[in-house]
Amino acid sequence: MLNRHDYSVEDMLLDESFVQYCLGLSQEAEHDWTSWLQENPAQAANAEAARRWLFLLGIRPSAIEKEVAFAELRAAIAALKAGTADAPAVQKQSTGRLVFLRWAAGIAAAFLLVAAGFYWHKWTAPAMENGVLAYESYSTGDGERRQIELADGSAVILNSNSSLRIPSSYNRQERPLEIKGEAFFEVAKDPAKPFIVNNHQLAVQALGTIFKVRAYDFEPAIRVALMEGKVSLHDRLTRQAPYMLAPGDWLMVNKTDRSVQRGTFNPEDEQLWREGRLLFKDASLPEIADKLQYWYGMKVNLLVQPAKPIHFYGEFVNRSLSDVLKAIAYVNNIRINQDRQQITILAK
Amino acid sequence: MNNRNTASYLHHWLRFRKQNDEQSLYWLYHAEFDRLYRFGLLSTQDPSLVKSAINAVFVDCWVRRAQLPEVDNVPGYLFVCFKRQLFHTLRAETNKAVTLPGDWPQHLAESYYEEAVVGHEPDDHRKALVRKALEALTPRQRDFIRLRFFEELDYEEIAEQSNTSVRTVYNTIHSALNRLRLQLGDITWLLACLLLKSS
Repeated sequence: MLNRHDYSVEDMLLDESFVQYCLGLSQEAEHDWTSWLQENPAQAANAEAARRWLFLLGIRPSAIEKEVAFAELRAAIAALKAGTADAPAVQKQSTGRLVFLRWAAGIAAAFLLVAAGFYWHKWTAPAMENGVLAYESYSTGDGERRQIELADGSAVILNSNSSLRIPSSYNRQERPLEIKGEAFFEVAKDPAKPFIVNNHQLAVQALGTIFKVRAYDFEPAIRVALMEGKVSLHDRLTRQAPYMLAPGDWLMVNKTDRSVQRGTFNPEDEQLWREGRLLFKDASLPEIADKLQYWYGMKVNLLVQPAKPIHFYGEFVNRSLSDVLKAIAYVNNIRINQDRQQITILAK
Repeated sequence: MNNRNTASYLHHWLRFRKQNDEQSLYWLYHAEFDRLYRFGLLSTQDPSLVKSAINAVFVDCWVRRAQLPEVDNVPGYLFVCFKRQLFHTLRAETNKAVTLPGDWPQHLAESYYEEAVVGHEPDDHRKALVRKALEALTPRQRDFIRLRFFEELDYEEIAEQSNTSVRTVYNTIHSALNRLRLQLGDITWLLACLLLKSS
């Protein structure tokens, strides 16, 4: 072996045998590097960073991405073998419909944006600063939460995997914001300056209220929940009259067909969310998956059927995502991976 | 480690067609997934489209297994199937004509590579950072990075192709990596790695 004690990340990446080790191309390289890393544990972080660079620059999918894709393939082929699906037909029909819906949504969006353009111009235009878009943005990663105080005294809690853009004109005549993912808003009262949360599909207008908007790309609907006061929702893609919400209500707009569902939520649950208290009471595995997806705004893939039913109890107060996943995996004897904005639950 | 040589490709190609053994199909899937994924991303920035096109190819192979031909070059055959599938998916998606890189994958325009690296990143924030970091490299640095890490050429091949010495290739890539790391840092990855390990 070469003298690798002072190997930098660059040196590792330039070393052919390190590349072969990372890509699983040679048993010899695998053996060399595994034992070297055992002898030099201080180098583990460098090796991990180098591996990540190798995957980034080589445009290589991560192991967990592959595992998810493979599970889908296996399921499709199992369905074919069981004869529950006439594969080519099902395959074609479902992609066909998906394509049609996307196409239809695209056309509808283009048409309605033009139609509604004048009306919305007032709301979306203030971001222009000398003809240039000027924003301040905040974003959060997996499992991260962020509190943001706005210029007018309003407060925002940005949930995991989300971003908030604040135009530089915020609080001049109006208070427009743009959101991706999920955020909780506590709006300072100022009737003269409407507070408007924009997503490219939906606008929520509020006056001195507390509410939550959830608009993750990976979920099929956008959800708004109102804790206090009053909000009105404008679907930017249809010309529906605005929807009104009363405290304790939630409303969901389906992104594809624009249909609306309403319901009420338990205020205690939202209070727990605000306090960062993640609670499981007699939760089954699908319930755990739902809750994690809700809490962290990450797509949860459930790829295991437990042998016996799971009844999970647990409380996590402001604990990190890794601690939470570790505990759940340990107690329920499953494996949980977290990568690229997804959580995957697998058999041990 | 599976031996990925021509004989084992032919063995599995025969086995899943003649003996209805889906394990052989899965072997081919694992052997080819990375390559198809990476080249797919040269045509679209949407990784989920690429992954569903890959799966569609293998589902289709399973369905048509009795009619599939004997071939000498199994990866080549799968690659062509994938190219066709992706082309249809993209055309249906954008509802207009799509041009795939002509001599795919040999003569890649450099811009395809940069777009693909950026498209592979999970979120807009990372995409912007990675784009900025790549743009901070000189064209020659970017070129060598692509040849080494994407096209998987060795230092001698790169040197020969660019009429320069192996030493120069090596040093250029070293300074390019150094610059990328300064721009982007490894820190976020270290955190992600700790999370992965502990879960």
